[in-house]
Amino acid sequence: MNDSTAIEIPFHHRQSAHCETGVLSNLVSHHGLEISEAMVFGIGSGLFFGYFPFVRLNKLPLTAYRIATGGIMSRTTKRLGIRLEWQKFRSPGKAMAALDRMLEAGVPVGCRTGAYWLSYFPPRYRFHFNMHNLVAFGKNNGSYRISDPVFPDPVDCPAEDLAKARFAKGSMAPKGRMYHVAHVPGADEMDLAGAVRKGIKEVCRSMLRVPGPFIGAKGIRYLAKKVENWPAKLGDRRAALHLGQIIRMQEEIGTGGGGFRFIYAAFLQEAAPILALPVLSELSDRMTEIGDRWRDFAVIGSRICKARASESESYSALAEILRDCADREAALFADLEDAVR
Amino acid sequence: MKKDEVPQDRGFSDGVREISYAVDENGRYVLVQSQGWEPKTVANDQAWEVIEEDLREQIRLIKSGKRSPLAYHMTRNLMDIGLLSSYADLPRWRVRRHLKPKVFRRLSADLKARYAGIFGITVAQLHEVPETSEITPHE
Amino acid sequence: MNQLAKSKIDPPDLKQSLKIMIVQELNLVDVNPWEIEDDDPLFGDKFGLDSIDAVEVVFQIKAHFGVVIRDMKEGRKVLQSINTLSEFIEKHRPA
Repeated sequence: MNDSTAIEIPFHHRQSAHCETGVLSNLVSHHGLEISEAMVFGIGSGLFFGYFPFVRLNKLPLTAYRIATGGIMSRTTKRLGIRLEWQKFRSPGKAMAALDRMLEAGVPVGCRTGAYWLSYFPPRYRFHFNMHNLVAFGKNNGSYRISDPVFPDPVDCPAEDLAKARFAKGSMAPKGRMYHVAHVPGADEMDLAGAVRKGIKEVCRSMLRVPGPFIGAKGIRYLAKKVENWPAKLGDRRAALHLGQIIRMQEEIGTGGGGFRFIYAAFLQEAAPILALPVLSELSDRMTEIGDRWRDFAVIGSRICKARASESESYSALAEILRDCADREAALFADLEDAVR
Repeated sequence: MKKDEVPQDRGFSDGVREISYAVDENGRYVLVQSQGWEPKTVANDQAWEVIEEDLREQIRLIKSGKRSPLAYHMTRNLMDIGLLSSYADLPRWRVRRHLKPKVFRRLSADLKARYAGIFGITVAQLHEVPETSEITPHE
Repeated sequence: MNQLAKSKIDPPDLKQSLKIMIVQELNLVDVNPWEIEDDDPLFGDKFGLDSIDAVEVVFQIKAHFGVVIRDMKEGRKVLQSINTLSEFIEKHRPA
């Protein structure tokens, strides 16, 4: 192939809050099925909570506000009858050649990548985080045109950096994984209401009924108990580090906890007319309030981190906010489950 | 969160605005760009401070002859021995040995080039370690 | 880097860690970790794991726990289920 041939597929880049949902929404829309990020998130049962003290990320316990990477895409496509074709590769050479072939054929391609090697990322975001998704839709002079949904506009990424990112090592290594849309159902083939229902039911189940203390509303309460004891158990410094990690998992790019609650509320608003259930609009309002409560946690938590003073009482205040979130989420998901029964 | 409450605080994305979901005057969700949010920035700052402290410690150990420059570059690239050994395609025990000054000095040109390639630097730079006052961990 | 805690983990927590690790590292996007029963055959029809996945699991066990599965013969026995895997790790963990 002639390297100086520029390819640019007319791809509509729309900025989104989250990479996996944004990529799927944009890719599927490109193929004629308009579906918002919020709908992808809801149908894909993205909302979640889990606190895993024995699984470490950056040497600190893992807090998850969404289901495992790839889970949203897999569930949404299955439930809507969208077919994605996936490939993974053993070598960067093969992976990039395969990408080029798809682009030449006019097909935009989703790629799983690590974030660390993406040169267009703001430096303070560049961590070894392998759960990122982006769309490649063009190539020009050794550089790829990328629609990275969390960015306002398309960006350029040198081939070498994209290759490194696609083969980033470490946990959940992407192994050059790429995917494209092979089939999009027609409006009459698709059971949108059914998909929305299934999406909602799974979230209710995981937030209310998974056995064990770490997951769902119970998991939030479990975390509350831990948070309360951090100053005594860990000392102020390490307690602040643990707290900072929670806030990062909650609010930083790719994981957004408080943000995910708002996206889910937006989903419930869209779902209301689809299921002809006006009560979903009220539940949406309650979810918005819950998202605000998570943000309160981040505000107070960050003040503790910054002051780093002996504010033992405030860890108690944080635990109370978490318990409030747990209670509200438990009540909301119970009502939601009732509504879609 | 309401539309007019979407924060435009000090961020850490070099001006790149991210999307927030917020409700408009009619309570309907809309997408609004945000420059940054103080709590989020504070948490990210804290993470980078920890890295910077670690870098200072590595530089101190290197300058006192206890570790090789590899320790600095590994830490600078936010890697631990496990991750670096994956990238280098070497067993961990070998990477651990390369953190010793004597062993590092005697490394083959090939291995040095391999490490340099992983970090995106030259072999000459692989031997260099900045002064603690010059650290910019996130550049 | 994602790591499983190196300190002593109680057996139920170890089993849950293994389930999370398997779902994440083998990219089992359709499976929630809590849907894996402790005695489910890992390499049967339920999860569709194959010999390449087995190699990956062996690698991850070594990386996370420092425990080595010597060959695929040993692997076949150890990787039967979450129960057999966690028993093996408990027995062979470096102190």
